[in-house]
Amino acid sequence: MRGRPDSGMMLIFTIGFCAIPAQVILMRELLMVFGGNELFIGLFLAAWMLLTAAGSYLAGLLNLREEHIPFYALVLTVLPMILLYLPNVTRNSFFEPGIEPGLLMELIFTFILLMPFCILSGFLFAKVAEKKVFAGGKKLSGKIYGIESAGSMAGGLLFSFVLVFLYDNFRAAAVIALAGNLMIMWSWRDHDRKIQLFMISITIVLFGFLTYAFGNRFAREFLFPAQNLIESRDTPYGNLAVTRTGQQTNVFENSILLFSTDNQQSSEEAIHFVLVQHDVPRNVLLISGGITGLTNEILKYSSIDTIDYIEIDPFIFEIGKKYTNALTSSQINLITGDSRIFLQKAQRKYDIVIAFMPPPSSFFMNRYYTREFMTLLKEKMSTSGVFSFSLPLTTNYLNEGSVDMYSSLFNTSRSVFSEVHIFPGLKGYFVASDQRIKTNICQSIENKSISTDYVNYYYLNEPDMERRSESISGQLNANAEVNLDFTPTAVAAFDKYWLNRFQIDISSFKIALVVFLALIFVGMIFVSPVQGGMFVAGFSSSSLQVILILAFQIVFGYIFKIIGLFAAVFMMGLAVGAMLHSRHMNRVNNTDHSLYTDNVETGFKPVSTLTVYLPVYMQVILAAVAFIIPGFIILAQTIIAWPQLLLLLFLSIILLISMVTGIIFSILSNTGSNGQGGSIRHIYGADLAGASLGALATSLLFIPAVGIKMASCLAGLLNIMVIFSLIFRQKFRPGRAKKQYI
Amino acid sequence: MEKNSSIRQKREFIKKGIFCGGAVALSVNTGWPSFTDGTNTGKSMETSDKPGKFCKEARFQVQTPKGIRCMICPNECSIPEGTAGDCGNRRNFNGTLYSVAYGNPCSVHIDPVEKKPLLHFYPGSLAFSIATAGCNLACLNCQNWTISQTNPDKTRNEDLMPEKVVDEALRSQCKSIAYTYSEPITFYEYTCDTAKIARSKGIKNILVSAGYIHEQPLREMAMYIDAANIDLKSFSEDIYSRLNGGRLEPVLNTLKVLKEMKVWLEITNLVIPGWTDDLAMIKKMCTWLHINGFDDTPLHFSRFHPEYRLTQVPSTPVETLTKARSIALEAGLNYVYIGNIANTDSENTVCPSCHKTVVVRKGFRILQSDLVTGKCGHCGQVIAGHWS
Repeated sequence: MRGRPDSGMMLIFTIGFCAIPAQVILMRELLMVFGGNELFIGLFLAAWMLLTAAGSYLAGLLNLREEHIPFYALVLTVLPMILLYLPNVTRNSFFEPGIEPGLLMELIFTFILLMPFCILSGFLFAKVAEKKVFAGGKKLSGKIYGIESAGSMAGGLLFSFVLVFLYDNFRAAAVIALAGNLMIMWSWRDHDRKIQLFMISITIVLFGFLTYAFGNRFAREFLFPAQNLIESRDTPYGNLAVTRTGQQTNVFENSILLFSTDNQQSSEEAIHFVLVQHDVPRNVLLISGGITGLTNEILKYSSIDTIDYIEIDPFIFEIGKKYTNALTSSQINLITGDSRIFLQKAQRKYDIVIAFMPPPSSFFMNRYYTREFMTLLKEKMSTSGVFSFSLPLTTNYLNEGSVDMYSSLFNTSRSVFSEVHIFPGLKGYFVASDQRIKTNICQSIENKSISTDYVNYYYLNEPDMERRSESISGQLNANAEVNLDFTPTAVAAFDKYWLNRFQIDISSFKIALVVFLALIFVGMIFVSPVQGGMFVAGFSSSSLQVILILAFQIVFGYIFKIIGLFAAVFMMGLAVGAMLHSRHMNRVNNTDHSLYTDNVETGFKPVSTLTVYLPVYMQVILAAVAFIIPGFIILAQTIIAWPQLLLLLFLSIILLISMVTGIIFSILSNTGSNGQGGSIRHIYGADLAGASLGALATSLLFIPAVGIKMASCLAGLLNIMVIFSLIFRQKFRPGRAKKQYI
Repeated sequence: MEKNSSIRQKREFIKKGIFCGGAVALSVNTGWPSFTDGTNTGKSMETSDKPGKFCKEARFQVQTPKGIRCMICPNECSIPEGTAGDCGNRRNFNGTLYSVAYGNPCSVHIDPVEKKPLLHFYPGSLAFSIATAGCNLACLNCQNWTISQTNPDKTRNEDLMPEKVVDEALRSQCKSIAYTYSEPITFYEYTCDTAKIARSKGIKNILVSAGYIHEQPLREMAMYIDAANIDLKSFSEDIYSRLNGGRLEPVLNTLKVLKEMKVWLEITNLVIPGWTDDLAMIKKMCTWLHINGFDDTPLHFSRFHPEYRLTQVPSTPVETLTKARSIALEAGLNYVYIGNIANTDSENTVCPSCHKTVVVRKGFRILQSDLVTGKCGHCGQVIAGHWS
């Protein structure tokens, strides 16, 4: 390679360094532009890793001259920045303005968008790794994988701990591009065509500065045609945009309208259906939504002492202060953070608790709709306290997804509170209490002399509302499962409801996914046990990572930095595991490119017998961890009083899983007749394919089907099945097996 | 040897590619029904191959060399054996079209008549409102999408044959029966049969529709309809195509026919930012209405809120609605209302002659009425509508 001797490794590191931030930035951008949900996230990750795997497989077909490598590398660093513009600029050209395009179209768009970066990064990694291994021997495979993981960890840490808090997506992408650019230029500073390289680099730098200065503003304007974009801010939790249409101010969260001013009806319904239930409400806890006008409605009640208003995203308070009059009262305490963490420490007893959250569209959001959450809430409520939350409602008919969602959450509320009533309005408002629920809302409003525009006799027909409420209740399934933290039935129901909007039946969708997974599993295992082994390892580790992050959020609460830390530790584990094994291989065999030789001292055995069992042992460890995790989650819930210990334990498990995966990679990439570079490409691809499908299957299939704890066991079971399959192949077809490795 | 290795790698890649492609194809084939679950596809439905209890032979079907064609609405769907039309409600059983939306409403409610919205038709009365699943349009902002963008096989339905509808309306002391929510044109036979019985029992019939229907079926239906609220969604063929999946011209014709047949008519226009809020277009629409003699036809401008697939558009600013109303009044229309905006006088009825308020409304209630036998209590001008 005509860079510095370490330029190849630097490129490997840079690929990892750019890839993780690019992945997160592009995913956030697509969520922002299309307003997707958990389903989309799973599919996005699957698309990312599958395309990268495709790139690595392509490396076997196409040639790449060494002198071109730095040029491609520079292109790689700048691609995320360029690609960021595309969803914004082209969205309203490909799709009608203002519509949610639907899952299928979003997927197609995502695939096309990700192709350039993912295929190039997979291709470059495989090509460079191939060349390094060819030059230095198979034992470098582990080191290469380790360096790539180290780069991913560095990029992930930089993004999660620094960039996401300081910059919007465009600036973050510009910083990553500039850093990657520097690394490439440094490594190839003695390149024969350094002038051309330098020119390209300068162009990238200039483009980077322009993007840094103007990118966000320029791009966002395209998203809001016929509106005056006042402000747009990317936060760790998404994008908040403020626009104006005439005198009206609109606030969008990830392109979905959060509220428009002069929309009294929504605020009045959300507040008055519940506040009239309490004779003298004094302390109110408002979980999200205050700036939409809820606080002003609450303050109409003269008995109110305090409103504790909590949002996870502090920027929402900034928006509220700047563009509304919802936060002017001194009775309102603004609290930033996760509501569950807040509630665990809250001292006050609340008469009214109103959760005005988005629906349970993700496992994260689901945490505010579970029995555990409601039980915690109730502990912080007065005996006459009333709790309310709301769900989307199409007034004249509940479709299947809605029925499932309403049934699950109705039963969940009933399992905590003795009285639950659903008031139909612009949304379905659940009101829950241990006291009798009043249904004569208009009379109650009048009795309290509350002035309202919509929630009154003129607009509300109480008999009609009562009929509709009974109609809704009559459609609910009394046997619907209660929504729990670790059995998120409401998420599956919401997915069904959401997909119905695009005429997609989720059952067929899931069956298709199961068929696909089954075929891929079978293919991977029987086409190549080496790649099959890596596929399953990637599948398991990714699956377990999703489960652990989710479990941590549920047990501990949502803290953005911690999620970033999890990802970083995972990458670190991959790096450490791969490098440890690589170093071990160096000690075992310095001169011989074959993996193992008869070595009495070390006790290693020839390729054809041991090779297959060492990764099997690692797979057994993965399976064992998968079966231990449910017990660990139960234990974690008991030691919540020691959050640092809890965090340490979670991180340790993640580290173990990822180290084992790294070791497996290093072992398997040292096997094979064409282990001199060919196998690293295939194994990398298999790892990515497994990881992508693991994340997808876990979030889309396993968790909705069996809950979080059982999903972990399911991942372990798959591991065991594959282990037996691998052993079976080796034991009963030794001739064929031997051929595999020669 | 290198060449052999390269060939082997290419073979391997092709093998894997074919395998993965095959896996994807098989999965997509398995899951394809999930992407075409809605009715508006003309695909085979998962039902019996014989007409069932809730089926009735469809009217306005013609045999063509290409098969059966439904001629109820301008979609004019050609419907092969075992499949349904765009609306999902007209299905070909053994070469004959049947409506599968007969006697099986999925939505049954009692609403104030003002909710339709009808402000000049027996105000204060109740309308027994029914709808089956299905619609011959595909509006991106449909607020009843859970029933309009599906078909009766997929909804939970009641067993409510026409006689029973009328009985229930009488029992509930409803002045009228409203065929509403989704699109009554797609349950045409059910609407007509029920309306006939209702009329014989002294119950009024209200059609709440997008008006996307051919003239002949409209004329036949209108014989039994007493009042209609027609959605004039925009005044642009392009917007009708992109936003609603239909055409403007047939709807304009519907308005003319209903007026000619002396069906009491009120028109609703939903003002959607970025789509139908162009004031020039609204002026054009109001001018057309004026020229074609719709001065005494109440026009309702409604405020848009994000719904169904149109979720990334803001609500309609109040001043846009106010401006639209002013344009309509200036164009010569006498009764122009803004729906669902509290604390404005845009819900009140004003005498077009003396310009005094004759009906004061708040929400769905009348606070004060200065009408005397349908005339302005101040100057005696006839106020168009059915008031008592």
